[in-house]
Amino acid sequence: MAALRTAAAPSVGTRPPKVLLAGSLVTGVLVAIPLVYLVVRTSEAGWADVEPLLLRGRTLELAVNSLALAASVAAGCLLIGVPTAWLITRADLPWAPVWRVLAALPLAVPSYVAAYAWVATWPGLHGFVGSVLVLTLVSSPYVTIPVAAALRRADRDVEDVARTLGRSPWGAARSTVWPQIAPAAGAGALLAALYALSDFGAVAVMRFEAFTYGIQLAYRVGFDRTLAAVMALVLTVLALLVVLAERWFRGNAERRQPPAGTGAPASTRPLGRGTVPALTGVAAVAVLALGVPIVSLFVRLAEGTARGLEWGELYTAAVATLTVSSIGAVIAIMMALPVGLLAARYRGRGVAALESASYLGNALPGIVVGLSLVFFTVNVVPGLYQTSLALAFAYAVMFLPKAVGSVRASMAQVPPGLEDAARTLGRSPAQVWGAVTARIALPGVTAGALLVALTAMKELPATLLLRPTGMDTLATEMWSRTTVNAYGSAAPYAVTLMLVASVPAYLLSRPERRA
Amino acid sequence: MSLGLLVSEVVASFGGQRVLHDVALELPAGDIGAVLGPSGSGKTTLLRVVAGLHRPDAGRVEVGGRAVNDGGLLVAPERRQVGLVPQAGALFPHLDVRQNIAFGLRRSSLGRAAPGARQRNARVQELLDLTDLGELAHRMPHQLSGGQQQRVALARALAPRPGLVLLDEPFASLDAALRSELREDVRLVLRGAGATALLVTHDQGEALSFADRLYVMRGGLVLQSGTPHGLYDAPVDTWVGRFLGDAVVVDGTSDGRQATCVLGQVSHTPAPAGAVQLLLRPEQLALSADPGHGLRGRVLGVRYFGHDALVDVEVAGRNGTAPFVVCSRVLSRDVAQVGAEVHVGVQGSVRAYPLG
Repeated sequence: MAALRTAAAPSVGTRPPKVLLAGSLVTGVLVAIPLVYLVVRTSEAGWADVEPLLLRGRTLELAVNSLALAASVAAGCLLIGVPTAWLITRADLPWAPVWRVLAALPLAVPSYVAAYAWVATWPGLHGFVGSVLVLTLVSSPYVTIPVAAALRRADRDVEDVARTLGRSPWGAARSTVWPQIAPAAGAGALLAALYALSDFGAVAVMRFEAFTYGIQLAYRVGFDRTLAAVMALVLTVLALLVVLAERWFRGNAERRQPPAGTGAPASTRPLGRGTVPALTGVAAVAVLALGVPIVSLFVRLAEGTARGLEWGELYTAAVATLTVSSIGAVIAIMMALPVGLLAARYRGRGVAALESASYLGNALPGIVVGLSLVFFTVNVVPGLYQTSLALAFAYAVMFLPKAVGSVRASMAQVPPGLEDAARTLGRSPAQVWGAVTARIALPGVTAGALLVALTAMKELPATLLLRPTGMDTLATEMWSRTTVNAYGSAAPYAVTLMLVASVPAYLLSRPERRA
Repeated sequence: MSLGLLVSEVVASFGGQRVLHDVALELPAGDIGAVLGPSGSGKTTLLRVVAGLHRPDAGRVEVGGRAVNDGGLLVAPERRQVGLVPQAGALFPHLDVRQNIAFGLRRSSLGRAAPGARQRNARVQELLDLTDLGELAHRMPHQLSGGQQQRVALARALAPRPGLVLLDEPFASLDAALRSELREDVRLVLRGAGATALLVTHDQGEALSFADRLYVMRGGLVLQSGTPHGLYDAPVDTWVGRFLGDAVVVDGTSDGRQATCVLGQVSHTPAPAGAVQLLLRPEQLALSADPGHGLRGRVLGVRYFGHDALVDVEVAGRNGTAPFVVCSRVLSRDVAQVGAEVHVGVQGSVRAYPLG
């Protein structure tokens, strides 16, 4: 065990090959395009034009709206996520495996689908309350999943030790378990906040004037595109701050991991008379987050199909979606390969910087990437304006972090000791790469590509801005139908999207496997 | 003699399975005890029962003369004044060394007033000195080596002056060299603190060298208890004998004082006449080049340990029985060559166990 762990550690002191560095640099440059060009576009306008746009009351109002939304969603997710995580890992909750999957599945509901389902059922629901409700329900897994993982990892012996040192059961949990999960809960809440801050679909359906919705309105309605650019830049700064805070929390979480796991028995706390309230709680969350959207969708689906389903349009949209998201996934994996390899095998400041750069997509809301690439293609490479390639590239930038994560994790599964062994058995470095490294890493990399494609399929704001004229994806078809209140005919698209999105959510809900 | 720990008639189950059947043990105050048993013998459950972390089905437990388990009485772990050193230390990962040690000093317990800040600091310093951790006081757990973590865990357990310290295989996760060194350190610290301690382990060498009193467990029962020397010399049966160290077991026929076996005439501890099993320790088998010394054999192999060595010798059976292998412990200067002819003699009296 110990030998394997040291063998899998990245090599320190060895210099990474130039090819990898060059490849990673290309990725870094590509990833930076949306953000850099946004800055360029804004600065071209000149400070005299930008200042009034930045300082006017409307910008402030949107900022306050977005921040209030993000804070409320984060708080809501903590309220739902922490107790749920505790119940599914530490208590003797009946049917715990079922609740574990149900707690992760809300991630499968695209925010605009959930919002549409709620609004279609209760048309009175809108604005701030509606947005907070929908976004909290769909993003609560951002807290539940990491907190549950932290609870599973947390050393149970420390709780016993705290008891023998004079703490009551609750006191022991508060003084030993909470500090172990607090960083995970904090990081999760910030992810939920980031999701709320970047979300376009739900707030647009709810007609809540958050930054993202405001940007889209400014771009569509206004003639002054500089306003949209300025707002996008402000939103990006807010998102970057949240990402930095999240990284800090996550760093803490990793530092606070117990030094070594022990084989302590996996005892669960008996709920006793608390069983019924606990079951009621988790069931209520599942009904609100999954039951309402699903029932509402199928009711609409029945209405929609009664009037006849346009199979042709659904098919065309499905093919378009599949094509453009697959291209995006391929681009993302190609960009991710050098960075992931580098991060898995080498350490150093340059490597860390390149890896961090690849995670930039996490901080860029879809509406920002879309807007910036519209400016970029129009002004710099007009040949790409409104092409599938530009849209696929937007997907690649946004979901590159997922691809890099998969590549890195699958490369880390190949201990360098294995490659050394293959070398001593008479294979050249290239042969080792083909026969051992690539062979072992391939399934993980493929899964990463799949994950990117599935995530790209439900992307809405960037797709709305970048798609070629006349091309519709499942998401945009559904979107255009809901905007004209054609809820029935939007349902088939919504159902398809939910099915597509449930695959990565299910994969996420499984307890992490030990390598 | 006052008792540090008394366990009597304790029965306990885990997940519907009975893992402790009528366990009893007595540990004098200030002594270090070791519960030795193979995995699955119930030793860890026994430790959790004593700590109050596992509810026994029946039985009585007293710590320092105070009943903590008795019939319906079940004193919570936080009110037992029992310290615990788990396998991997289980340091609080979010607290530094000093805060870990101070963790148990916050609350008043059993009428004792909560110590003031100055007393608390003094006690923490005392333990840092005792365990030689002074320079690491502000390190976080993940910055410590395995051995250092265990020392902190011990200091943390000792800080509130518990009536009893429980150690659950605390050396199991360390490598061999560090292990014996830390074991000796821990023993000295426990002695210095005058603490009563109970160690749970599956390592017989560790148990023999660490404890004043030894309890051998198997299948949820304490098979034998006593001093390490007493148990090694006079195990109650051949299983305990083999579990405590290397042993050669041969069948024989006894007249009550002397037995005839493949090794010839052997004198043994008193036993009823008839069929017996004889347990010989390798150090009771002497090798000699002198033909008058005993049974003739040939050296098959040598396991060399530096200070001494175990020599496997194939001995031709008497009266035409099949050849068999015995093991002898010799000082390293007396090691024979593989293939050499030697003569095996039995020294002193061996243990005899009636068969059937």
